[in-house]
Amino acid sequence: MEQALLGFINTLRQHDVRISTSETLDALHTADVVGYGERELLRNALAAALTKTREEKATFHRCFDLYFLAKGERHSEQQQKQQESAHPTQFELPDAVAGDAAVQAALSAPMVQAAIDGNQDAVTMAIEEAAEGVSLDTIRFNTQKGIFRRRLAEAAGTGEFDKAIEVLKAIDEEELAGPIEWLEQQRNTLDMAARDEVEHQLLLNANAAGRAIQQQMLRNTKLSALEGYHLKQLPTLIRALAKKLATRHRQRRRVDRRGKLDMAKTLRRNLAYGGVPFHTYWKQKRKDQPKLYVLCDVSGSVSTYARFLLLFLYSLTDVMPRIRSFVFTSEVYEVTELFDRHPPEQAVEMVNQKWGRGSSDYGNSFKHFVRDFGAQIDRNTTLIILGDGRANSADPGLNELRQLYDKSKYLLWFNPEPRSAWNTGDSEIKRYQSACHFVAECNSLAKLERLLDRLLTVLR
Amino acid sequence: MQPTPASTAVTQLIEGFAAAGYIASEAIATTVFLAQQLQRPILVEGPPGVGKTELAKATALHNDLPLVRLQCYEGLDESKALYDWKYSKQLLYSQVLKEQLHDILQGAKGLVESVERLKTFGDIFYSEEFLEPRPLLKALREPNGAVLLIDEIDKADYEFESLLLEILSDFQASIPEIGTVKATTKPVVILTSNNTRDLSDALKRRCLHLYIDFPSRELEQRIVHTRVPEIPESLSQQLVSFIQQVRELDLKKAPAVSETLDWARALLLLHATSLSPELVQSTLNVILKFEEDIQLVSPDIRQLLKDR
Repeated sequence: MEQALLGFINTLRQHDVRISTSETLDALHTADVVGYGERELLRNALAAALTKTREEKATFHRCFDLYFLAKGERHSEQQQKQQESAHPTQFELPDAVAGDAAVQAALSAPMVQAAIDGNQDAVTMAIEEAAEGVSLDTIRFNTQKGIFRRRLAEAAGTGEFDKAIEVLKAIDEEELAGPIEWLEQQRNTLDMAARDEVEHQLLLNANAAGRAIQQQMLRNTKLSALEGYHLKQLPTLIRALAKKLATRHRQRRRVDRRGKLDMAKTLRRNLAYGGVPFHTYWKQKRKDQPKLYVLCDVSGSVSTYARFLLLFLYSLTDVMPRIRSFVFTSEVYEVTELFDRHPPEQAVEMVNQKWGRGSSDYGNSFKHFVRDFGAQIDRNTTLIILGDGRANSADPGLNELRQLYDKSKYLLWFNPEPRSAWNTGDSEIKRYQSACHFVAECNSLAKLERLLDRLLTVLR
Repeated sequence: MQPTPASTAVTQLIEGFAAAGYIASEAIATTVFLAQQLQRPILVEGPPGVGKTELAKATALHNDLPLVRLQCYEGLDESKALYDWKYSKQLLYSQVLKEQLHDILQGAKGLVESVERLKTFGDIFYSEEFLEPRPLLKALREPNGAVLLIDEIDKADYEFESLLLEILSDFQASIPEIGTVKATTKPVVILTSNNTRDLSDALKRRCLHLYIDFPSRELEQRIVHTRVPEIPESLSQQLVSFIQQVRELDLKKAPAVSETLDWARALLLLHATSLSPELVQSTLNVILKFEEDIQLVSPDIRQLLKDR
């Protein structure tokens, strides 16, 4: 039973439930305490020990049903089938050959013997043991089915039947036709059981493995190349990436927070205690709060990127300074409030619906931005501009951008176009480059993650 | 089927909780049973007002143990949660002992000998005598064990979680000046969280996790009966059914169990015997705490009362 529990934990892991070794030990203890007798009790107890969020609990219950219930049902089904097929004909060996030593040896092989005795549980047990032997739980893809089935059947003992059949055939006696057929039938039953087991395990594993590969792929593909179905999955992935970044950068702040001992102040305040420093005061460098402004092009060609940049940034609010966000096509609109009032995913949708049309006019947009918000840009402000720098052959607004560049701490330009396409056609990115601290290519999640990681490092 | 010893224990626990005025679902009872068997803390999550804190109180009452409560907030630190030194007492003693010092050092020649003599007295100022135990230490030193409730852990800082780790896994606390204080009897630890932020994996790993959701209709009915026994059967049915439906609407804050109970008590005070649309309208502010929510529900009151 322990083996089954470990198998179950493995299944959970493949479904993205994070289970550490110590939790595995907990689960084993838990099972010891509550026993395997009552399913609901075991289910509740394991759920408490193994899962740590509400989502994980839902996954847990799904897997529990799939793993334990399905296993039990399948076995009783199998047994029924075997009983039906086995009962009508009994295995009877003609007396003539019963005494033959070779025949006896072949028939006393454990699996064959079990079949002759009508021991139905033996098949179940053999399959289970064999599954472990060939590490069936590592099966991932449909294409592996054939090889695993063959290995599993062999490990479970089809070979023993083959041997027995061979021995009987070699004797070449007519009366043996019945027993040979019977043995073949038994062999097929075992083979079928192996096939069922492989199918079941694949069902448990395939989804998870597929997802892992898919996520890897999603991170590295160009965002614009993604289609509807994959786009829906991105927010989840972004949240996970953001969480990782946030954890990394939160830890650093902990170290920074305490400053040096402020001797003068400590002595002065502790005069009442005869100079004994009961209360300590710490000198802290007061850092001005950094500010982050994001200006996104949401015209047709780059709106997808704007979406994910905003989504990513707002998933990082834990560690990011306060963000003010703006979008533009031909004019600039502030969308900070939208994000304050709605969850990021919804806000991004609203932005896209409301403004995500038309073609971009950089000159006009920059002019507006400088006029309305330029006064707020100061030495603590980092400004991120997301756009492809294609000014449609109109005024690129370079002077305005230079003003922003001079006033801000950093002016970063994220360009979703691949580097090879920069400065081709109406792209003005080279000229913009002269008025930016940094121009980066950002067209996949992996690149975006790396950029934001660096951004977080410089912001504090 | 013969009930296993574990399942009998869980059933007993449910009955025990019921006697303490807490209606527990099977999942809740199983988790508490496990926590006692494995000596693990429980991390309870769920929407506000579903009885997370109540669970700790009921556990204390059922096991007849003292309840030690630590309410978390931003900026909570060691000196408020674990221990502190009694500074003023230390100061006072140091003044008094100054006089004594002379006698002790009498006859000592030179600095080295004086220091040698002082050494034999040990570190009196940093001893148990001057230790001011805070909730965590108090729970550890409780001779017969205790129920330690660490309420709303998500409100505390990230750093505070790390402080808890030693206590949660080994039931001991390290005080640099004294050494390690081990629990005399391991306390039952219950942490609650409203999920305003993610807790660290290290903390979660050490705990059993329990998610308490809004109760089912049948369970809520029983809760109302236990907590407000005077309420007539028909009214409590109507009320629970109404609340259950309201929870399915898109509200800013869905009414919790505590609000159901408040409402039941309020209706009892008004001598109501059944729910009428007018009565619901005038008492809606007991269960809904936002103006927007009230406006959302108001037009549908008749409909909600009709279909059950």
